Amino acid sequence: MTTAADPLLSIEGLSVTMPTPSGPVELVHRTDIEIGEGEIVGLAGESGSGKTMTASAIMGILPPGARAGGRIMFEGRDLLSLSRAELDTVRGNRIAIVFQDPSAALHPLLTIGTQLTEHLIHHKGVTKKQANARAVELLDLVRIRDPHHAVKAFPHQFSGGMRQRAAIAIALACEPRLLIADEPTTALDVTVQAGILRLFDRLARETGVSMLFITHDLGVMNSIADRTYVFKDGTVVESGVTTTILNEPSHEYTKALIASRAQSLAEERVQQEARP
Amino acid sequence: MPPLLKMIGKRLLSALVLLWGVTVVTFLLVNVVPGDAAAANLSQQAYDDPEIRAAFEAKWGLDQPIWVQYVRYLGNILQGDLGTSQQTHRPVAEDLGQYVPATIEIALPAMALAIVIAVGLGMLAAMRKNRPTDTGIRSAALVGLSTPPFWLALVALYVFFYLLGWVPNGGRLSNIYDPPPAVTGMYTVDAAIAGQWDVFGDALWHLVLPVGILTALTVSGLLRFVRSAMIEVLDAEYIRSAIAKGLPRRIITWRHVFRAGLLPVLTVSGLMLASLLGGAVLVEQVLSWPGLGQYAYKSAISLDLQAILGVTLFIAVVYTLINLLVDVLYSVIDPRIGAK
Amino acid sequence: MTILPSDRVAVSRASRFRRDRLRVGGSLGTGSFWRPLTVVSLGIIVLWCLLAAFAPWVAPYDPLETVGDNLQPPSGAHWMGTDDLGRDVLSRLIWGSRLSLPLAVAIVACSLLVGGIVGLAAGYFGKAVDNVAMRLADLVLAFPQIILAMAVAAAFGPSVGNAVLALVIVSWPLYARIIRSSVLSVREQEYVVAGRMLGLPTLRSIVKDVIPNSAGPALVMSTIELGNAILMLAALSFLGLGPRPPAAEWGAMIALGSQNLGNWWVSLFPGLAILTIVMAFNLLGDAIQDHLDPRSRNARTR
Repeated sequence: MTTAADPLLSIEGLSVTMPTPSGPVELVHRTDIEIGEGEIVGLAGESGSGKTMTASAIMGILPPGARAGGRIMFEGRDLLSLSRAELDTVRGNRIAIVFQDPSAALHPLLTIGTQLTEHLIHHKGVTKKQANARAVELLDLVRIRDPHHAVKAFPHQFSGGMRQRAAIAIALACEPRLLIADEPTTALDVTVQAGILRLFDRLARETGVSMLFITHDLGVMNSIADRTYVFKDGTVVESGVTTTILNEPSHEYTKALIASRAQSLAEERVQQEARP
Repeated sequence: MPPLLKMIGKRLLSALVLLWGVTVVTFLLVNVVPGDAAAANLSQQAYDDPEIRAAFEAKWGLDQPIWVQYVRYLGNILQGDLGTSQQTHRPVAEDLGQYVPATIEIALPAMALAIVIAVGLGMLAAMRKNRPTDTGIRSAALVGLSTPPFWLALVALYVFFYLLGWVPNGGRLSNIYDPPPAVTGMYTVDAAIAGQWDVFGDALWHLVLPVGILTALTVSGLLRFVRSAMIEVLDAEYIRSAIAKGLPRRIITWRHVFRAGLLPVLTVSGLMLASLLGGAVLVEQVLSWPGLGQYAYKSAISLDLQAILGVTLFIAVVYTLINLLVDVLYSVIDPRIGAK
Repeated sequence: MTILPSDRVAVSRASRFRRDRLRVGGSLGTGSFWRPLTVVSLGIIVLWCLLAAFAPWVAPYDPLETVGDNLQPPSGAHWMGTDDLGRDVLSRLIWGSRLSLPLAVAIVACSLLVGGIVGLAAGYFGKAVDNVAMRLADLVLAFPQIILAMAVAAAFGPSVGNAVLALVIVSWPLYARIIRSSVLSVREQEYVVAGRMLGLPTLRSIVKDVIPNSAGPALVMSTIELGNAILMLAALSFLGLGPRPPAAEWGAMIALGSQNLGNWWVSLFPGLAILTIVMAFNLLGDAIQDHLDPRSRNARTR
């Protein structure tokens, strides 16, 4: 599925190690991932399999003490070899991330408007006024009602789903080439999850942004990702076109994941039918 | 913002209840205890004369039942009359008007300096967590917390006055100067108002040591809070978001970390200011600073009932008002509270 | 003044404990507890306790007798010099630990007892009892500790017993709050609720559960408060509201030296004595806190 041209992002032999009292532990082991222009790539696996560590390594936000090895090539540069100042010209600007829990990821004491515009002003050098106009546009883009009012609101005044929409708007503010979404629906109510997924899908089509979509939910993966990497114990065990993987899994682990997904789907259905 | 007003109203009400409780407790404390005010204030000869003693007790209402004394006291304080000090023979309110500004003059600058220093050092320590800078700052705070305040004042006096001669030997003004005409009761401010710049300079010079000592003590009390509050903020996910946005460190530090870490610091600072106002007693004692602490000490030693009640009531009012102010400030800074 | 806030630190830190972290016994022998600073602070405390216990044999002179010329600076005969009555400062310093240490223990023990009973009653009976008890605690905390202690000590008359009484009066509310919140959390435990529904007496199970449940916070708090009690006691006697002269009390010794700054040794050494022991208690309290609640030390990692 990768195009003939260089991929947008290519992770080569990434390892992440973390020091513990009983010696260093390797959380990600020699992982290769490629993301092409405009492509939506999924990372699947259970929690603790190294998906989030991979995303953190790309953004340079690994927990204190963790070390990353290998290369992460983006726009001709190895992100792992950049200084903090150089990396700061990339993250938030060329690559942005949406975290799992918008309630924790948004600053509680800053308005949505401030959080939408501060990196825009910093990276793009626009005026405050231009940034504010763009903020309203962005909120409209993510379908937040009454955006003029919403820019002045604080995160606690929003519902969970709206907070995640705002967080997505913040990530898109500088028109990044790559958007990383780390379990962006897991912390949300089941009822709003579908809306957020549709939003990602639509944004990808409208803006052409590439996406690295991380989830443990293969059903979600099926509805959004072109290609999928399946993670287990810090390494990729299977990769390919999403539908192929889901229909003809070659690795035992993938089969197990699909089975557990089927079971939880069945349970959900039983619960739904049980409701009056 | 009606919820905010409602919150303030509720706080105000509970503050009033607390203050009423304070009058009851202090009054009972001073009246039920075995100390005999007549014995403490009259000479042995006068005390032995039953007529003089009866006159003394009648004059101060000591012969009335306790609840009559209390009701009378409560009625008086509602009119701003805190009674008359047996020791200075002046209205307690007037005494407070004289001693309180002296304490404010050292407590407020000390508090302001302490907050700035503690927040700065606390943030630095939090950002360099478990590294030498952090260890150094924490050790200094620990020493400050473990030092008897009066001993610290003595050591400072020994070094900066006795050995180095940089500061005066306590007091508010050198003997050659008269106090400036009283407006605020704070010598530096009054001297500035009157344009007496030599007096101003001298008063300022006398402020250096007490303010410095109180600042050091307050910083060590605050640091721990600031550091742990800041560490908690630095660990928060929204700070990770800010880093992932590629914001410069300056903006992350001051807009994201500082603002969030300030909330808990604000609460503690309110408490510290209240205890500073009254608790400067030990430092005031060493530096012969005629402030509220010394007044409280002298009244306590001489069992000056009205004065003790006046001081405790005053401090409780200040404490309650500061807490109220902190609550209001809190809801201004933290948008989540006003909305509840 | 530094005294009040450090109490609040203790309260806020102590109240952060979760139930499952509270069991104290048994595990102190392993893990990170025995770090160098903990060992040093324990060493200092043990040293002072030994000095207090064996003061009559350790102290070179009688603390209350004139044993040399007045106001001699430190020398071979008097390592810490002599005071204005020609008494040996070192001997008085050593004997001073016999006052400060037991009194601090007494203050903390009495506060814990009073606060424990009030907190238990407030948590167990709830409603009116709880309201009155906690408002009373608020009331006491509405005063700067030192001012209230000073007023109480002065009103009852200066003596050792009254100084202790004053300090107990100002510090019981801190313990009452911890014990109360602990009772409340135990009350809500399922098995207690279940027992209540079955008509079983709850007081027994509450008392039985509250003690292990609040042992951790109370231990941390008590350790730090031991240092605090020494500081407050010294402050009261510095003001002349503690043990009567000529008793060798550290705060009073410092007051003696404050009359003439030239005789620095009279004040310096008792101050250092207070500083070392209080710091040791603070360090030990921190170590216990860290041990019981490792989250307070280690960065949370995901």
